Amino acid sequence: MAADCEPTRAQMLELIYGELRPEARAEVDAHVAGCAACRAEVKALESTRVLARRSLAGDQPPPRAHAAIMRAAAAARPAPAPAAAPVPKAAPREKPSAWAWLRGKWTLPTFATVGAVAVFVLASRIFLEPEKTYQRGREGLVPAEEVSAPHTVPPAAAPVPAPAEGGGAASAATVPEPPPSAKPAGASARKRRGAPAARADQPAMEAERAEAERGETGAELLAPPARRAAPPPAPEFAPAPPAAAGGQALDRADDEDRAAAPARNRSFAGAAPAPAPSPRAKAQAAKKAEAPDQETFAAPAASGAAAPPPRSAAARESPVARADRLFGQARWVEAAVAYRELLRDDPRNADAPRWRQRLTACEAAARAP
Amino acid sequence: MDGSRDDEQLLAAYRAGDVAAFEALLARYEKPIWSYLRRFVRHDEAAEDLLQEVFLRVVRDAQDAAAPGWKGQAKFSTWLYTIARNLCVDRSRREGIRRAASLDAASDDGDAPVSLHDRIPGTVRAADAVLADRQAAQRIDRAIAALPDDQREVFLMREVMELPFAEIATVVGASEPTVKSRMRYALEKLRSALADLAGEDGADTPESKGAG
Repeated sequence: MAADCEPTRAQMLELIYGELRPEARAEVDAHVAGCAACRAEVKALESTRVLARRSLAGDQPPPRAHAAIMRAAAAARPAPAPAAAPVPKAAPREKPSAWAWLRGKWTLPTFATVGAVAVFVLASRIFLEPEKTYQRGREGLVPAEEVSAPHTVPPAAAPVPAPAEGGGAASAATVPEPPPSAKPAGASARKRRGAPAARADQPAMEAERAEAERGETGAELLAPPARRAAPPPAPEFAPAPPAAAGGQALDRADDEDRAAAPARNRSFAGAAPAPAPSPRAKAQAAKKAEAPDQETFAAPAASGAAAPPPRSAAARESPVARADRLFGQARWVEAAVAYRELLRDDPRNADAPRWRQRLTACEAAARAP
Repeated sequence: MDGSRDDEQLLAAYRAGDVAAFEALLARYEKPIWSYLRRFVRHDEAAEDLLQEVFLRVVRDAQDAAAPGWKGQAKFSTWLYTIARNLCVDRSRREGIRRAASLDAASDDGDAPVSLHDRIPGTVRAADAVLADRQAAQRIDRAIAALPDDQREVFLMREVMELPFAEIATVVGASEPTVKSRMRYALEKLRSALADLAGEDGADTPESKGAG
């Protein structure tokens, strides 16, 4: 190798892989044109490349792996499947379904937790501020003293003979019916109006207490605090907070609270389906991801709906498919023409490197004896 | 083929629930990655597992935005090839098979029709069978498989994945001159191993090298 070949040899890789900078290109080209040894070197390296690429071009990914990957991709589709919501909605009305079971299973623990939190909050109010509690009892909770028990009679006590502590669901059912007439006579109405000015700045606290009082008496009361405590972030679920609300506003809020209870219950149930399918889908995906079962994945038909297989769409032959077919049939000249056309029409296509590669192969094959 | 959208758009579409976009990505990359994997690990079953693992990582990454995956800071292809390369390296370390038998070791006697090359399905394989005779194809496979790991991976990234040298350097974690040096060695080795095959085209001979 002559000394003046050295710069060219040093850039031989860039030359044959087309990475030579434009300013260096002219110089290298000029040298190669005039130097037989460098020309031979370029040709030898390119011939080696052609041979290697010819071999590498035969590597076809196994269809089984393709199918497995697509199944996993379809199963783990990132966006929640829209079909997941309607199914649980329709089911509960028909008969006790898996969804109803799931809801039942989750509702009680949720309510129990929220109820426990409510009791804790109430207890902390009472025991951490005993003086206030006592004073309020003097001012407004006269009926509570009469009853001489922490179980203050809820508003429902007036219209319906209070079923005491065992009232259960029956008392809850009767509450919404007579609210307007019952309220003014009711104990809670009286107690609220007893000291309106003093507590105007604490409506939320009072509402909390009043509801907690109602919540003390048993199983029925597990639900309301749960409904109330669960939705605080959502305005429509928090009737009490507005600071301007006086006693009447609170009463109205109470009524709405009760009246809205069934609806809320429904909406709570309706909200639940969303998280439910997600873990299941995730679990499936994770299972697939962890152990891609090649036996089960061997049948790609299952994911057909979600993943249209473009490679099987040979019916309407696209220019690309045609070129690939010609290539596959070893019709080199025609395939070369087809690939050349593809490259001319869409040189920036992501597939262009492959076309170029095949064009090179076709040309080599066409030249071969 | 979804050639109208780039990788990043396809990935975004898949993140929005478009499975066909994922298949377009898969169609775009599964062949080069498959070729790289099987030539790197020299074991088809292992390569098949790795191929699935590479794309399952894409799936998982798309599922979980908080996952430590592709965040748009690099080209998607670079990220994907880096996954493939790291899986290969991990496997090689784990299995200690960097010096395992070559692709066609079992068919050295020449009579067994079990060469991996023979098992490659599809029309392209048929085309290959016409392009080069079987013996030559086997020799090429063996020559590639016989390259040292660091040279082979650079060679495959350049020829199969068609990555520029600078990008290969990023994926492999080496400098660009190092990558080019490995590539040069790889080409020289292949050239001397396949000199007689290349000579059919009137290529140079070792003698002609010194004539400059």
